[in-house]
Amino acid sequence: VPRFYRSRLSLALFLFISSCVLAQQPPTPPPPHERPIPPQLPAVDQQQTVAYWTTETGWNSELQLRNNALSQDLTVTPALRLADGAETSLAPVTIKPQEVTSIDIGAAISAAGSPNLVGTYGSIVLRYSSPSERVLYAALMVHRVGYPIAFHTDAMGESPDFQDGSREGIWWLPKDSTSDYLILTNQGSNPIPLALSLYNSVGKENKQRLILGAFETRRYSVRKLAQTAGLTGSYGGIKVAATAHAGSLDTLHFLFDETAGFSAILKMFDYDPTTPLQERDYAHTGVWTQRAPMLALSNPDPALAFPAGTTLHPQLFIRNTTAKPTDVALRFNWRTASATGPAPGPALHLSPYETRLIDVTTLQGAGTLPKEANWTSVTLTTTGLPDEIVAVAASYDSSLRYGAQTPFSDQLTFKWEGGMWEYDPYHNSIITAGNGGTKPTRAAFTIFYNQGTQRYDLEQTLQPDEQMWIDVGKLVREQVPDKNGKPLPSDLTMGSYEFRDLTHTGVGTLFEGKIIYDKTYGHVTYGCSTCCGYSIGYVRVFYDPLGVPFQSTAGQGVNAYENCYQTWDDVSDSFWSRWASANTGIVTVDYYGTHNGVSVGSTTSNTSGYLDGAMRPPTCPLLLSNPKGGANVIKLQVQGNSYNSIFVGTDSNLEAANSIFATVSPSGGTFTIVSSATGDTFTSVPAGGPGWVVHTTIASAAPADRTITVTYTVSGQGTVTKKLTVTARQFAYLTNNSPNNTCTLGYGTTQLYTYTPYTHPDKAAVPAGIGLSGTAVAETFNPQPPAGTVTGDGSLNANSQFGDRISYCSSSPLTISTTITQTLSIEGYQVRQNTLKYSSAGVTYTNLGPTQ
Amino acid sequence: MKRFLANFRYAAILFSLGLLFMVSRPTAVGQESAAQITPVDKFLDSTVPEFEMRGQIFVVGLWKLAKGPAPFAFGFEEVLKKSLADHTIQDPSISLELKNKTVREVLDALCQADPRFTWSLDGATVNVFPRAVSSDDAYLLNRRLERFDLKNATDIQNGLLAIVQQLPPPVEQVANAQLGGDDPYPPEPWTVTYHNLTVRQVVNRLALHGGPCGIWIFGGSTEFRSFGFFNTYLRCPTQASPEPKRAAQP
Repeated sequence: VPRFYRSRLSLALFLFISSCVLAQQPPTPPPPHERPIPPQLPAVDQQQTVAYWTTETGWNSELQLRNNALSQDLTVTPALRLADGAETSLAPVTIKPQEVTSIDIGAAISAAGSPNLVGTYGSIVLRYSSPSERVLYAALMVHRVGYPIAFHTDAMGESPDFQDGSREGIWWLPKDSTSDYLILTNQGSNPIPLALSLYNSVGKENKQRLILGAFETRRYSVRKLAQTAGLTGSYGGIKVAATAHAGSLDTLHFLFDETAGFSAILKMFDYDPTTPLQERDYAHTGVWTQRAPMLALSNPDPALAFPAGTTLHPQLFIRNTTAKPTDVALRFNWRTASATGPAPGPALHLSPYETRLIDVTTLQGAGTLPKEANWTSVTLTTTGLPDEIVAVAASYDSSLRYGAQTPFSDQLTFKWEGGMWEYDPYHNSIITAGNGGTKPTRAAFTIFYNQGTQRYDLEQTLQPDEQMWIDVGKLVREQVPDKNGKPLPSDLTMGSYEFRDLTHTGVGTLFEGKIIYDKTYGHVTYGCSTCCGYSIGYVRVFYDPLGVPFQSTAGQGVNAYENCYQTWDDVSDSFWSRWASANTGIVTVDYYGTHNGVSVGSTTSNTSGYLDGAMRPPTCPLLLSNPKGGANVIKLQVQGNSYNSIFVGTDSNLEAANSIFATVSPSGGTFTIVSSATGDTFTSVPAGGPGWVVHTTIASAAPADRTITVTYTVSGQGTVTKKLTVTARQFAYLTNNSPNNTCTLGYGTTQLYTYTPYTHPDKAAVPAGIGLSGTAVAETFNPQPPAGTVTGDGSLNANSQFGDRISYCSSSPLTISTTITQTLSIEGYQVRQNTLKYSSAGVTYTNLGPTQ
Repeated sequence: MKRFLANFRYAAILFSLGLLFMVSRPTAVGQESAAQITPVDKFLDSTVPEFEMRGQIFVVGLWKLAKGPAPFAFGFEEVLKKSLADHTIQDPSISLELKNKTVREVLDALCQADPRFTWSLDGATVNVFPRAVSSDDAYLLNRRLERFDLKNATDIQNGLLAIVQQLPPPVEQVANAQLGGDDPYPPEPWTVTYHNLTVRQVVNRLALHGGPCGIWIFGGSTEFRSFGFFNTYLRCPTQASPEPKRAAQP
């Protein structure tokens, strides 16, 4: 991702545009767009790196790989690098969509026949071919065999644009018996000049310089470094600074203590001093916010299966990574088995490089948090820039034997793809997702199992700071049905998971957390997910160019390539309010991107907005996009008859009434015309075109239920569409006048009946002057009329009526006496039957209907 | 070939008579019909791309031909039976499949298919009548009116009544017995005088007053002779279209 996306210049420009052109918000957004879906992006070579693996004696490494794609398999080729960067490839592994799989590194080394990889350590590079890097979520679980020691580390991508920055962390040595490793890994081929600084709690620094070679992994002990530096105390800060290739540096710091049966991971953070707040202010609160979602409180949740009477000591380490003092505020959202609630926390003023320990136990003892609370989320805010404050949470009993951790993260997003969860007699997993935004949101949680082919779905509306709390074991054990009524299989032991923000798409507001506890050893490890974002290089307007109908509107929207599912999503709402036209004399654009064609011509329009993007995995900062495209006003006017109707039938005389004409500018384009009714066909009008005669044999079920869509495409200028709503009318019945006898020959009768046709579906009279002249009216008789009677079919006249002359009128007396039935039909539909009774007096007439 | 030459000669004579009639039109005085007489060659020489009949009688084919693509007026006279009580005279079924023929050629083909009939032209009206009555001076439609006066007619029956009242003895019976068709006469009273016309020619003009493609059919029996009047004016090109084919564009 080019750095310029993140530049302050872009931010300033964005703010300027925002303040200048914010359109007034229309009352309601337009209906969802019918949008084109761009083609799938081509696969390219991708890679991520895990900073550490080990096969040293007593250690076991397990690589977990998750395919985040919606529908494509993913083949990953892991390669183990030794500490010096020498590389050995392992067998490739293919992962189904939404599947998570694990690889035992020791077994894979055996299978690869590489004994040089036994009893050593290094980093892992994961290579795959895919349109997006984020399709893979990878983590390495490291176990100390036979001890309650386990931790995980996530794979990271390399960011060539990140040059000058650092990795920031906190060191903690709770007991003299505690060992630790600080791992430094160079993912890239360029040596990285580093400054490794340790600080004590008040910010006293000890710095050493080193060069981390290409692909090299170097392992330090902070305890030894601190001792050498003369730093005292049990905690402080770590800074690993690079003046070049900072985006190739990964670090890992973990503790283990075989004597105490303890392990902990002290999460480290990328720090880029040029990162603006807006990139990471996901909830738009104006302050930078981090959360730790699952801090175990003094009174442990019975679900963790700690021995009775275990009391934990939750504590927070909060560090100022900068040379300036910084203010920090804390707040909590606690949870018991049956209740949740907010609680305020202390406000802190941290000196430069200071690390502060906050004893949450004290807060719980003082009543800030309820004593019976088992968990709390911790929210940390600061007025500084992102990553100027880093924090680590830990909650262990006094022996360190039992406890849990929860990582701080500022990340909110619309989708999280989670790694492996476990549930069996020795393991259980608790997963949570919370709303980090300022408005309620609807969250969807999905468990995937059976190699990603089966799913279990839950949904919940979350208020700000509220969390949904999922005990996977409980769902399995108690056969809790999902929203579709389907429970998880009772013998299910593992799978992957996903959270989605159903309310916010472009910029989501969900945070997440997961712990897996192992009853064998009684320890708890936390896991992570990967956030999903959009590839900022692939944010595109729906239509480029957009054809805008003259004196009408065309909706424009924005597609973005989502890099987990690898799908093109509609993110239009993230770009509302910032649409602008380059020439408002041709096109104007409203709040929602609806373009209005002012005059025929060509111009461009653009918008801007932030999306959850994709920076260096696993981060998803808010990145600014400026999609734009052509906006060309094309005149397309479509007109049918003034009655907005077409008529069912096959008579060529319906041609005029069923004709639709188009007026266009510029000319020379191509048309397509379709009807909402299958079976309707079109032929070109014989004259006066462009236009089409609609041929239909299907009557409307309701007025105005038929849509004729005319699309006009001008090469290179776009496509405009006009919809004509009509009623397809079928002739149904007639009404008539009561004419006088006009026989003037002496004997008999002559009556001229004038009939008015009515049509289905609404029993409306057919109006005059809509081109139905000549439409055939057929007459049949049973029995045949008396000899000498001339019969003939009629047709509708310009008034859409027809006359029917019933004459039995002679200059000499009449002699015939008979009765016949007259049947009238229009377009093949019977619309009237009459009884005609012949006698010496002439013809009498009786209407037999139909009358509706 | 002989029949063709005979027909050609006959048509040439009729054509000449038609021209003579057109030249002699001042013999009709007073309020002349508004109908315009289409020049003979305008429709008789028009090409009919496709004309098909499948087991239909003559008059059905004539209707079809008169509706277009070159619409025209016609009068059709059935072969009359003697009494209404007599069995219906069976008309022969005609099957034709003609392509790219002129109206004239189609009329000839029809008369060839049912040789009881022949056709002539009176102005722009095609008259089809039984060949057997063509020289029967007593036949109603061949009878001649030295002068025909029509006053304030608003219905075609006014014209029929005027015919029977103005013909010299014997008194003729006429009827208007029909089902279907409109009343095309304009509401304004029509007064006209013609000289030296046959009843057929008068009826042609009465029909044309209702529109340029007036159709009349004469049938029944010798003891009950009836007319029916119809109109295909909606398709007749010499009449201005009553409504635009295309709605006005905004």
